[in-house]
Amino acid sequence: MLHTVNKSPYEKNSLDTCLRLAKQGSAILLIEDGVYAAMGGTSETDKMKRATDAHNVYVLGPDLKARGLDEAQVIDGIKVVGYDGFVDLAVEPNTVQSWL
Amino acid sequence: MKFGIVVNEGPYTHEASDTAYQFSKAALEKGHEVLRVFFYHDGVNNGTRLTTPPQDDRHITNRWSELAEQHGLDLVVCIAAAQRRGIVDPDEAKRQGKDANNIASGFRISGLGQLIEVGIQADRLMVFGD
Amino acid sequence: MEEGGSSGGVTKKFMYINRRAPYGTIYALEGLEVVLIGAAFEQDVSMVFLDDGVFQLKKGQNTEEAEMKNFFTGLPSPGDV
Repeated sequence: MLHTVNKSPYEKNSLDTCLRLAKQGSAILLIEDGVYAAMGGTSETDKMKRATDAHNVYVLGPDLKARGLDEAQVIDGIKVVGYDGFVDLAVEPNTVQSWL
Repeated sequence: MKFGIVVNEGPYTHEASDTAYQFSKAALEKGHEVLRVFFYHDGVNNGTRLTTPPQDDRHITNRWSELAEQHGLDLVVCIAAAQRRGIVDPDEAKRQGKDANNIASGFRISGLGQLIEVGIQADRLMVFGD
Repeated sequence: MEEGGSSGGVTKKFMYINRRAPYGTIYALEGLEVVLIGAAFEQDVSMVFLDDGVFQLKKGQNTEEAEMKNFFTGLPSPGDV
């Protein structure tokens, strides 16, 4: 299953709910304001590092760039993808869940 | 692969319509099908041709209309959500006794059944919202 | 006919995830409209209430003074929430 999260972890609990319910080995893609969770050196970093052990975590590059976030600061183990990569991630599993 | 796209937010306030557009475009470029884009909740506001953004900004409504024209996309605005928010096509204007309509090119107004139908027919239903 | 969609005899599983409280935003109300319309398509439907979505199930909702539509009346009550 692909899970998308589009909320900042500093404002909403969408990411926490996603991480609580996603089956091990899921794909999780951070988009829109969700991309802030991908950054290293933050209060969310430890949690996200654990998430990368259990799941395949991705972040949408265009949304990082739009917000002035540096790809080099993205947590190791989180892969940066473009919109074409987003499409591939949606094709691969059987279902998609948007955590809004 | 057949995609259904759901847009639950209006243009400009939220990025949902932008992401949905970029996803649809990328999917089409990869040779996938987009069976229908369904606009629900405030997403119906994507479908008014009266949208007039500043010239240096993207024109979200026109962008959807153009993508629809290029790829024969079915852009469906939910009738119940549209009635609440004043999105009207010529038929609805007549039926409800309104003095004008505002539906944009390539969009049509129809029922929620169109959302369920694409949910059944598509391989993946992608929801973009807030 | 607006709701004349054909399911072509296919039965799929639909799970509607409700994570929003009622009244503060319209998502709960319009989300319920989807479920009710979808019922006519004879699909395998389930509704899940998570996070603030559980507030939709609170009994005794009275919207008279707020002058909003009390959309949850008429649905099966989840009991003493």
